[in-house]
Amino acid sequence: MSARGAAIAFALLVALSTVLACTGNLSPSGGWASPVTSGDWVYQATRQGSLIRVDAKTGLRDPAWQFPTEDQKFGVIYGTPLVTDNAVYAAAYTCRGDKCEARVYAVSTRDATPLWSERHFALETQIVGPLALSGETLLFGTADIERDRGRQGYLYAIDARPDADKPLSERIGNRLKWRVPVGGKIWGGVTVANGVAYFGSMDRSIYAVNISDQLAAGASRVLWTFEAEGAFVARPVVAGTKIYVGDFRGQFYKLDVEARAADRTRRTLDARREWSTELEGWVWAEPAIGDTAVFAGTLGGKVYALDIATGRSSWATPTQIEGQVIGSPTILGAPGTPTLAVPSSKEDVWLLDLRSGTVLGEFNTRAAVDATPVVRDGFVYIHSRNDQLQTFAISSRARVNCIQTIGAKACS
Amino acid sequence: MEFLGILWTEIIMRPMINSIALLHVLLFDNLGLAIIVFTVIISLLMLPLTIRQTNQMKAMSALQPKVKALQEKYKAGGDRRKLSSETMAMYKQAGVSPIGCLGPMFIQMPIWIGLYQAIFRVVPPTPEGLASLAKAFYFWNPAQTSVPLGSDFLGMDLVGLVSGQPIPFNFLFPVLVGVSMWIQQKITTMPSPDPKQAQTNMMMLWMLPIMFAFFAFQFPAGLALYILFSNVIRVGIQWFVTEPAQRSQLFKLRNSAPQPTAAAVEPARGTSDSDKEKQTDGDSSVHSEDGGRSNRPRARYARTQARRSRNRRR
Repeated sequence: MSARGAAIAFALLVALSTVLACTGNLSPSGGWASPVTSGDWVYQATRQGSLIRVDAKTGLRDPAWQFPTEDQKFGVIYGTPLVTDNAVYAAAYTCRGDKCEARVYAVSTRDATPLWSERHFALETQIVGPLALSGETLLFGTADIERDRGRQGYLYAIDARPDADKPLSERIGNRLKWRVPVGGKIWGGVTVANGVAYFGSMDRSIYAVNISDQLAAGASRVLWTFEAEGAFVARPVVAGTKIYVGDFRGQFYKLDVEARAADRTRRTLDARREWSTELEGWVWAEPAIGDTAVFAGTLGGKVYALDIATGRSSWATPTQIEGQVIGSPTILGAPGTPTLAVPSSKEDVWLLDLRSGTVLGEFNTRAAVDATPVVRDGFVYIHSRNDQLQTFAISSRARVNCIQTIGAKACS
Repeated sequence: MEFLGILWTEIIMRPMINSIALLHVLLFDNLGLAIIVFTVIISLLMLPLTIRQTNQMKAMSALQPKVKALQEKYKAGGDRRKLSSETMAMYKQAGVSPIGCLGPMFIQMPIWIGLYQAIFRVVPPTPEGLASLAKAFYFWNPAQTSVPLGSDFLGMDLVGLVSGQPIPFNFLFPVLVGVSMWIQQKITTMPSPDPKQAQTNMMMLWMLPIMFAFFAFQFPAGLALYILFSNVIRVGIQWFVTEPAQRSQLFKLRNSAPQPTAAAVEPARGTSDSDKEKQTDGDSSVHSEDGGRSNRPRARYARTQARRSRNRRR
């Protein structure tokens, strides 16, 4: 090859390599949604963004129930779908370059048809966390909105009522009820308790928002905020009047709702009614709440049992598992040894002794698990990253059913 | 492949992610400043290589008349193997390597690719990206407690694509990338006496900047910022390593090589006296003292050929 040819080839190689390397797939991949059991069915959001369901007993997929259909794609789903008797709510999003589009939709549990006349509620943003429902109000957090770059995130409240089968005059024209801007992305979910929505944001704050439809004129929807040192991605868990949540600085908090509401300006922890404990690693998963302990996993692969009264670690040392804990630990109502099931982003769902943290075994999923395991009637349903919905018997730890969520075939 | 992936992660990605994140925290939570300082650090680390490349190119340029003479010598016999071996022997004797000139360019490539990935991993746009960032941090890095790191700089989102930035950044960035790359190419490309090579140089001078300006639309603004500043720094380095008397010549249009003076040939280690003699006769008329800044290399080449032919007849 002549020097000229070599130079041109080199230039093209440089350009091609740079372009190939710099236009890699930055799209979200999803697949973190947990199964949801309702009636005779287990509902699952697939990594490709479809909602499907399988028979809880036989593990067979309902071929007539899927939304959207194969030729329709709304993007990927991270948040676990919200299932009621009549409806399944979900949010999907997709990104091209740095432009994202999210769709929130409601479909019938009967036949998977859209319940909203406009089919879906669209926003130019990311919706990562699961949705929450309060009466007829659907709540969810977003990242920044494409055409409204001033704010980093929003809590949205939209009308959840179905209107697809209603005459034109009775249809809901504007589904948006209200929205609350916040200083950071909301990638975690929203928890609703006693008319208040609790959520964490990447602006390092926990928010309590009044979700009442009748808000006094001039009144702020934000009841109080709690400012921490780390960003929040985990969904806060509310138990009674306490909130349990961990942040990206490795701090785990127990907050008292009433104390916060009484003094909304207070920023520091009150040692009498609240505690915080330092963990090793970022906290993404929401904790599991036991009778005397709170169980928290970190992205560092550590699992802690924190005394619910003091916040001290109940186990002498935290248990180290392989991989990150992204899905939440789940307490199994197993006969015999009380057990904690912890999903690993490397492989399997680890089984730990609830009292000592000792590793008892695992549900051998043969794949990474980012979703929270779900327990029902002696079985555990696990959505693994290799697009399988696997069912394990708690007593024997054996896999009893498995189906590919994409393609509907049985697992090989 | 897995081993290569681990090497890439541990040698390129993790140091880069940790450096940028640390600089971000140290420089007032500003990703733009972090990238600029990172660029300066990388440029300083590559300074010996860059200077070596410059010297190699100078030496290569000085050897061009001799290469030309060799080409003429073996043109009649058509012994390309002999020509190639003698050319390489001459390069070796002079202590220059044709591939050595491309070294910094080769090293820049993984840095560009790594930086592109590092920007998206430091300010991850996807949940899985954020989760994997936890694994990328060194345990001692204080930046890990500051996540998520901001990506705003002068009203731009440095993680966003250049095409999506507000006016005028969306078109200014590609233009600046293209212009800075053109200037950098211009002052670092050594003139060649070979008209074909000169033509190639000219094509490279325009092709790469135009291509990069075009591609820059689809780069994240942070990467475009890095390329822009690394070009500016390289221009500065070139200015610095060029002798003051010759700096004014840097930006003049030129295609062909300057006349090889004794000083220019000096870096070529081990060049024999007889070689020098050959060098100063044969092609001296081709390469004028002003650096041969003709824009018509083909015409010059034709004149050279005619003159040589006359010499041979004598």
